[in-house]
Amino acid sequence: MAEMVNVRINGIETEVEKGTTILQLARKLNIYVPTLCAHPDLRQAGACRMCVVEVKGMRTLQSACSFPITSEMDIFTTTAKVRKVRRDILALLLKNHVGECQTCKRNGNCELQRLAAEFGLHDYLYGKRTERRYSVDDTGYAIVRDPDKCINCKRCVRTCSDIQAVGVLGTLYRGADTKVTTFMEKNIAETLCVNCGQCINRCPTGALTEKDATSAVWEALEDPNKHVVIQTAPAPRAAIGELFGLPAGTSMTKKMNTALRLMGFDRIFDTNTSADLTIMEEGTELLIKLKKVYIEGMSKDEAGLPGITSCSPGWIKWIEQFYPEYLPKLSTAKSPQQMFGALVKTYYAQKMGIDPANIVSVSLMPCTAKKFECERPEMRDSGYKDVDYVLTTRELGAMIKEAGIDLPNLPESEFDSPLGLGSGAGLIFGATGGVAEAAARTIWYIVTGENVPMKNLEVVPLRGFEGVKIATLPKIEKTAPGWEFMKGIVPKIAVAHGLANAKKLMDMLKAGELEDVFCIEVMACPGGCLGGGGQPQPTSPEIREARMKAIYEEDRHLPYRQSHENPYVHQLYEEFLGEPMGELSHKLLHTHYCRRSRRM
Amino acid sequence: MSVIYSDYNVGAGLSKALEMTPEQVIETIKESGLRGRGGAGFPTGMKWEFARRAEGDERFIICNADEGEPGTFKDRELLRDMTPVLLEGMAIAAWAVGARRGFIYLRGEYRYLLPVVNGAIEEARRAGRLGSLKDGFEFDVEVTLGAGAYVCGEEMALIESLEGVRSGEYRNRPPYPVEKGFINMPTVVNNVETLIKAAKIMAHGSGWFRQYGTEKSTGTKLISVSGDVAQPGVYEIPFGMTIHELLKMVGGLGAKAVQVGGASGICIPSEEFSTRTIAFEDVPTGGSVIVFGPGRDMMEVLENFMEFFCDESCGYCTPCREGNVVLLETVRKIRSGQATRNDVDLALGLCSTMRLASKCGLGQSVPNPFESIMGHFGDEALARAGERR
Amino acid sequence: MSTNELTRQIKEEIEELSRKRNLPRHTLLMNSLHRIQEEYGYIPDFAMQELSEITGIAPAEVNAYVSFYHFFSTEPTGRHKVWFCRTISCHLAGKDQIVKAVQDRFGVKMGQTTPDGRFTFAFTNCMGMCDKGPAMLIDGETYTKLTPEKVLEILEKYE
Repeated sequence: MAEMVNVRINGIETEVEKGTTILQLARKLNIYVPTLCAHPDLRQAGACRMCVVEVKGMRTLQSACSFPITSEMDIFTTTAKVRKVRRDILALLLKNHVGECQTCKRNGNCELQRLAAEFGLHDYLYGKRTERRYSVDDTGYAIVRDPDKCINCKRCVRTCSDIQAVGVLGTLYRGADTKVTTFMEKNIAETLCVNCGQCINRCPTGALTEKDATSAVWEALEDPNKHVVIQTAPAPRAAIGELFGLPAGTSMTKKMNTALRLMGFDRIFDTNTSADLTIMEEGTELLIKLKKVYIEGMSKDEAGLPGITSCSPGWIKWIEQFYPEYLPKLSTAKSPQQMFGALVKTYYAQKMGIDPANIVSVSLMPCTAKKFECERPEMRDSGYKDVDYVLTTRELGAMIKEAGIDLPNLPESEFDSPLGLGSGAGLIFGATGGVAEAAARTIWYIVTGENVPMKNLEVVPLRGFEGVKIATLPKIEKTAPGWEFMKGIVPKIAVAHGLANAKKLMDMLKAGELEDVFCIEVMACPGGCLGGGGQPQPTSPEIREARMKAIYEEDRHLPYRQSHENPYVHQLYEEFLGEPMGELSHKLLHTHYCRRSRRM
Repeated sequence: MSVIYSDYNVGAGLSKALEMTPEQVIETIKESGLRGRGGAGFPTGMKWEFARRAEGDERFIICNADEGEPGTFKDRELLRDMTPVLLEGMAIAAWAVGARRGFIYLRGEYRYLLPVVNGAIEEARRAGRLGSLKDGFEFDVEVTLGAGAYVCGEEMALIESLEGVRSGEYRNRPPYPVEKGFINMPTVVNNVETLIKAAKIMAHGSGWFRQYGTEKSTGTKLISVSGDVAQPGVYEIPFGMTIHELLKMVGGLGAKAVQVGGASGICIPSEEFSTRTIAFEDVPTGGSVIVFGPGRDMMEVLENFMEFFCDESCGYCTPCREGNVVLLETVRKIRSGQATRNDVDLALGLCSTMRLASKCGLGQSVPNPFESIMGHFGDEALARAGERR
Repeated sequence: MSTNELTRQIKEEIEELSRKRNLPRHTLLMNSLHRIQEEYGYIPDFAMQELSEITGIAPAEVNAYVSFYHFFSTEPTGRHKVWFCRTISCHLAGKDQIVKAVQDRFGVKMGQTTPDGRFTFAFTNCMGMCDKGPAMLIDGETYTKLTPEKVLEILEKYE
């Protein structure tokens, strides 16, 4: 039983568990306390001092976000002192915040702007810098840094180090020169940045944004000689509504299709189709590895077990840099985005009789690292750049708004064929554990000839937001012909999301603690793709939970729930690809990785 | 009249302490009324008691030898002449709180003292004043050299510096270092002078110490005197001495003002020399007294202080990082004849925000010099600027 | 510096300290940095990255720590590092004339290195020589009660 403490806040008598912060208490009682550096995903900072409150008997004000209540106290959040201090802090932050709101990507969704409005600031009390102090760094594939808009809240620093175990952002110098920047102020392109964009999601201002692809996409859409196709990933559909004032977790799939048509896309396809292909390829690959171990007697290590998923491009760059010795265990299957890209400019172009040179292949992703992935030199197996442009959820939202389209009130419409049908298994790629679950559904079916023995096909142990999950499936009692060697095996699958959790998992693997695990799923972002770096701001565990629910709910109602059931997948193999892991599949749907130096 | 420079046989305090229980040692220190000599004046006995009672697998004693407050140099002398007694003080503190290890965090500017301090440690080990001190009680000390950061004299910042963490970034109070300090273990951080005094108190008794000073500020204080005086240097005075008496002693009569407590202390104008006393209850100080002769431009002094803070703030919290710049801009505006009364009022308002909302003592005490110098000499400076215009 | 790796000797010394102390590895940072600066004259980029691996502190955090301290430099400096105190007592005692004499003699400003690589001059804050100002530090040694003539004389002794 937790120890309780009596407190009074704004005259309200209450009781809290010892150690509760003043901010947590205030939120619980719906007492509004403004914050900037505090973030529900991050360790406390106490840096900005916006959340200061008065505690009776204390000489100074205390930052509510970091002050743990350990004894009886009397707290005031609205006194004249508190208001004056907060106004001053805001004015001090605005003093060095260079740039105009009107021309900022975060206009309308900026926490600093919102606070200035809440406090009714109508002048710059301590002056305002108009000249730039620093320059914009847009050297990266995905992330643009504008340090002049930075307010030193360090959310990005904490994100990069604590959530993502990358650690390329830090605070340099001190005093008035203090600056959040990269290691040795290198251009972001020269750092170990994995392009995950989690820093963008947590930045309160426009200091961190994604590299723009909207202009290029508009240009393509306006070019009558271009055939512009777009594939849309599952996670943005569960989140784009947030940009239009809808609650998190509002599924927008079919309205978004209508919007994309209105914008002028020639074909609207579903990344879930290629997610199903990923399962077929990756699943087959894993089964081959298992055969090598159980039939040919190869060691697990030699055979490449446990197989590790490769859909998350932030994760790929991370493992290439930090654990390159494990690259042979990585599935060679491309991510759904890149499989799709390779097919658009081959299979689809042939089928439609379109010169692939005239196809512009766009993808809508919840992800900033996808912008990097599509630029990788390996991703040109169609003979062209397989995916030309990646739009994040935020970017598409901005384009829809620019086009004057009222997304929430649009009629619904379907995907186009032939690449517009995905199973529920492809859909749940959007949540952490989803790829593993999709693979489990199909592999179980292949090995046993029956559906995975879980209610509604839901492999619950793989679901949820626990940082590292190790799920044990039921023992395989009965096998389909040819898979007898799998009999009696209890399959284990490990899942991690967020790269700091991935690091934990890799260290477990290194320590030999994952001996009987067949397969490891890693997603670079917290919550998986639904928490991707291209998703709407803000982000929080609650918001991600709502998006996750939307994804699982949509899965439940789809006609096909398993990748191997998808008729288009069969058609693709029959008409074009041959068989999983076959020659053409290998050429178009698989890739290789490179060891990257950890040195910058 | 002397505590620090009293006759003393090295080892006497430690031997006495080891004959007592840790509780008795803490009680003796509490009885003496000893308060932290770094400037903040926290009761030393209480600090030790908190650390003793806190939960932790290990406890640490850290000697804060990072004296960086402008105008302070007493620890320089103490380290040069009295590191053996300092080590004794650390061992006594360790016995009192139950620590096995101690660090001396020596400021980078005093690198040249490193051989002296390390030599004293070696000698103490040989003489049995470090190492195995009693059945079941071992204590050893190592030195870590700082690298030029004023804020590391602040105990949290110092601990973070030892930990390899950028100071200011990770911790918020509470919890305090006595509960969660170095590597999150209970940690006592004491000033050089405090620890030396603790050793002497153990040797001579709390009553001997209490014969000096005032009720609330017992004992003596080492004062570093610099600026416009005939005999700058380190002086030991009893708490309660007036500024006038002090100035007389050091050949500084006729001064325009005195800055007591360094850049983060307060400025006392000549009118108050005979009424203000050096004591925690009146004008507190870590030991810095800077004297300004009649010809000095106090706005120049304030500008120098504000430049110092703009550079030495760790830059972590908003009020200190950004506030110092505004205060510096204001002083410069005054000096260039551009400031109005309104600018000064705005800056004074900002001072109260910095005092209330800064995360640590650095930002909280920047208003001390600004308000006191501006309060006594601001009008004069504004008027002069008006004349020039 | 031709090599891009810390010397074996430095690495061994760091490991030795780690064994002796048996404390979390991040606490090795300050001592290691002093040792590295002693060896190379500054803290090279690669050294910070290597220290990141040794201590488990993220590279940007190592850099953040290094850049916090006046006495650590991430750029090569002159053979002798000369620090002038700019804080109040030395300021009142005439540090400006000292600095002017040095700047005139060597033709460089504070924060710069002489073209022959002999000196890097910089300001630092209070060095605890307030009773004997103006003061300077050369390679860790203090010089006090400087005059414009005396400072140049002292500097001449450093090759």
